[in-house]
Amino acid sequence: MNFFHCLKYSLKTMLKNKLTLMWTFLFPIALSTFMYMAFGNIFEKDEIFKTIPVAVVNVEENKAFREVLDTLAGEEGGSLISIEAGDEDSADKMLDDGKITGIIYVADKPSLKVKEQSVSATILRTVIEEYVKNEAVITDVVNTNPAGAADAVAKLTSGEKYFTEKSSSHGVQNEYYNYFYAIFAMSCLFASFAGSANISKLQANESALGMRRCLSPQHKMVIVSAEYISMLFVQFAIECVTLVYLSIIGINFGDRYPALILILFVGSSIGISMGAIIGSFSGLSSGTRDGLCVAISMILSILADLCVGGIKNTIEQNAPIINRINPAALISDSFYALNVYEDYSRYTSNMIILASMAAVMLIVCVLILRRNKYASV
Amino acid sequence: MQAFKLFMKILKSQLGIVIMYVSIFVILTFVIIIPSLSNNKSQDFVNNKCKIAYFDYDNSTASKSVIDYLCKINKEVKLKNDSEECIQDELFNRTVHAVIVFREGFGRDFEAGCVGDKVEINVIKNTNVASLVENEYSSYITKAGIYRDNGYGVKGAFERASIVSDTKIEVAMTGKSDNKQSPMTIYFNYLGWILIISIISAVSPVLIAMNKTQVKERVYCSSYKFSSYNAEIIISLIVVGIGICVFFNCVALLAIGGDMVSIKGLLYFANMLCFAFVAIALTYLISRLTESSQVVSIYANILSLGMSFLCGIFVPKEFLGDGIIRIAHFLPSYWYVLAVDEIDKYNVSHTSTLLTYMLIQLMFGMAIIVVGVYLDKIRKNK
Repeated sequence: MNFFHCLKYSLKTMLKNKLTLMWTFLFPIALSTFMYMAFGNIFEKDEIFKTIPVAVVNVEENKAFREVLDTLAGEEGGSLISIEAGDEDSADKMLDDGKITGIIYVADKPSLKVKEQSVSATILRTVIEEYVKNEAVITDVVNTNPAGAADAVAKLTSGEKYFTEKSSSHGVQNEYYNYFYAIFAMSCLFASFAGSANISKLQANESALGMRRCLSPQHKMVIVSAEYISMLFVQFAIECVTLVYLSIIGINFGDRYPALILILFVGSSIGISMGAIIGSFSGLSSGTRDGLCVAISMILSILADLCVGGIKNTIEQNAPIINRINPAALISDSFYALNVYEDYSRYTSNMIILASMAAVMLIVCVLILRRNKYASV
Repeated sequence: MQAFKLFMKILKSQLGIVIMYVSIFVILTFVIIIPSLSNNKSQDFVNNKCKIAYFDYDNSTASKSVIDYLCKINKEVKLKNDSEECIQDELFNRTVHAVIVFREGFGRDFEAGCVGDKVEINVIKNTNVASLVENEYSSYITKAGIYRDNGYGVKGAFERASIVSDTKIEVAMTGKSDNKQSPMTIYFNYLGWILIISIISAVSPVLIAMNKTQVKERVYCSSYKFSSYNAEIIISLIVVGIGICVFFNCVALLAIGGDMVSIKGLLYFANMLCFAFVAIALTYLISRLTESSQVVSIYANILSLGMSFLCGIFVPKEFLGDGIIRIAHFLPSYWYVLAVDEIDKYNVSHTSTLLTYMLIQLMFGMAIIVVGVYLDKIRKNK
C-alpha cells in the first residue's frame, strides 16, 4: 500500500507540472515533424530511379542515334528518358532552370551537356557512351565475322540480364530513417532530466521536501521505485504518442508494434535510470545536473546519427564496442533491426543490453541513496 | 549598471556550466562532425563512381576481368564478409552501393555461353545507383560474350571488351564541378546549430536565476527603471555573445589555421556575430517564457535542431523542397546559411548581397528582443 501511496503522489506531482509536461510531449513530436519536412521525400526524390528529363539538339544527321533516343523515351513500363521539345536556346534555359538534367547533342560523335555532376547525369552519359561502344562492337564483328553481325546486334539490343538481383531485406531502405530512430533515442534519453530532478528531491541536503522524505520511515527502495515507475509511465506514454504520430504522418516503422513499443519502454527506462544516477550524486548543483543530462544525452544521440548520418556506422567499423554500450545507438539499432531483419536476434540482444544497463543503474542509484546520513542540513 | 554587474556575478558563479556546454559543442564539432563530413557520402558520387564490393568464389579469367573492369570505373570498397547482415548494413548505410558475388562456375559457364545464375548483385532495388552498376555489368559481359562468339577466345574477348568499354564521350558542364566544402565552411555552417544551442544552454541558467519571482519583485519595486534593467541585461547578453564568438573563432584559428586569417575568415566572423545576436535574442525571449531548466533545454533543442533541419545546416538546401525553403525564409538560420554560402564563393561584387543577409539576421534578432521585452512588460503589469 505504501508503494501505491508514493506512486500516486509522484504521478500527481508530475502531472501538475503542466508546462514541463506539455513541452516534454511536444519535444519529440516537434523535432520529428521538422525532420520529416526536411528528409521526408529525399529518398524518393534523390535515390529512387525516375525518368530523366532531357532536351535533344540536332547538330548533324545521325538517324540511328536519334532512333535509339526515341526508343529510350518511348519504352513501355517506365522510359529511361523523357525528351522535352525546344531549340538550343530554350534547352540551355531549361538546363539552367533545372527543368532538364542534360542536353544531348545528336551528331556523328554524340555529346552531352549537364549542369552538374549527379547520378542522373552519369546515367545519361552511360546511355550515350553505350551507343558509341555498341557501334564499335558491331564494326569489330563486321570486320572479323560478318555473318555474326545480326546476332551481335540482337544481343546488344536484347536488354537481357546476366545476373540475379538480390536484396537482403523487404524493409524500408531509406537511410534517412536513422535520423528518426535517433530522435526516439534522444527523446528517451531526455527522460534523464525528470530522473535527475525527481531523485535529487529525495536528498535531504537538496530541498525541504527532501528533508521531509528522508525523515519518513519509508524504505528507500519503495520511494525510488514509486518515483521511477511514475516517470516511466509518463515518458513511455509520450514516446507511444510520438510513435503513433510519426506512423500517421507516413514514417514506416514496420508492423511489429509490440516489439516497437518494447523498445520505447526499455528506452524510456534507460533514460530515467541515467538521470537517476546523475540525481543521486549529492553536492552537484541543479545547473550542473541539468548540464550533465544535456551533455550526455546530446553526445550519445549525436553518436547515434542525430545530426550527421554515418557517424554510427563509422563507429561500428572502427570501435564497435562504443555502439554496444551507447544506449542511443542501441535504441536506434533496435528500430533498424526490426525494420530490415525478419528474425529478432539482433533486436533481442540490444534489448537485453539496454534492460541490463537500466537495471544496473537503478541498483547503483539505490545503493548511493540508502542509509545516507547528514551531519547537518 | 547594477543589473549588468549582477548578471556578470551570477555568470561567474555558473562559469563552470558555461565552459562545459561550450567545450562539449566544440569537441563534438571537431572530433565528430567535421571528420565525418569530410568523408561525406553525398560527396562520393562527385567523380561519377559508385561504391562497389565483390566476392569472387570463381577466381577465373572471366570473373577477374569483370572485377578489374568494374573496379576501374567504380570505387572499390572492402567488406568484412559476405554475410547477409553485413551486406544489408553496408547497403543501408550507403557505405557500398552494390555487392557483386561471383559463384563458382561463372567462368566455366561463360566459356560455354550461358551466364546468369552464377552472379548475384546485391543492391537496394529501384535506386539510381543500382541500375547504373547493373547496366555497367550487363553491358560489359554482353560485349565480351559477342567477342567470344566471334572468334576472340575468352581472354581476347575480355581484352577487346575492356578496350571498347573505355570509350568516352564529350561532357560539358555548365555549373560547379566540385561540391566539396572546405573544413572552414563546414565549421561555420554547423555553427548555425552550435551557436544557438550553446548560447541558450549556457546563458539561460543565469537569466533564470535573475528571473526568480522574488528577485524580480524586488527589482520591480525598486527605483530602477524597467527600461534600464532590460537594456543592461541585453548588453550583458551581447558581451557574453561576443565572448563566445571570440572563443569559437580562436578555436577555428587553432584548428583550421592560416585560412582563417583572410577576408573570408573576417566575413565568417562578422556573420557569426550577427547570428550570435539572434541566439542572444532567443535566449532572452526563452528566459521570459519559462523558469524550468528542463523546458529551456527542450526549447534550445527544438529551436536549434529544428532550424538546422529546415534551413540547410544538416541537409544541403538542394535537397529541401520548395515549400520548406519558403518556410525557411521566415527563420534566421536560413539567412545565416545563405551568408555562409555567399562567403564560401565570395567576390567583391557579392558584398551588398552578403550585407543584406547579415542585416536580415540582425533584424530578426531585434524583432525577437522586442517580443521578449513586451512579454516582460506584460508580466510586470500582472
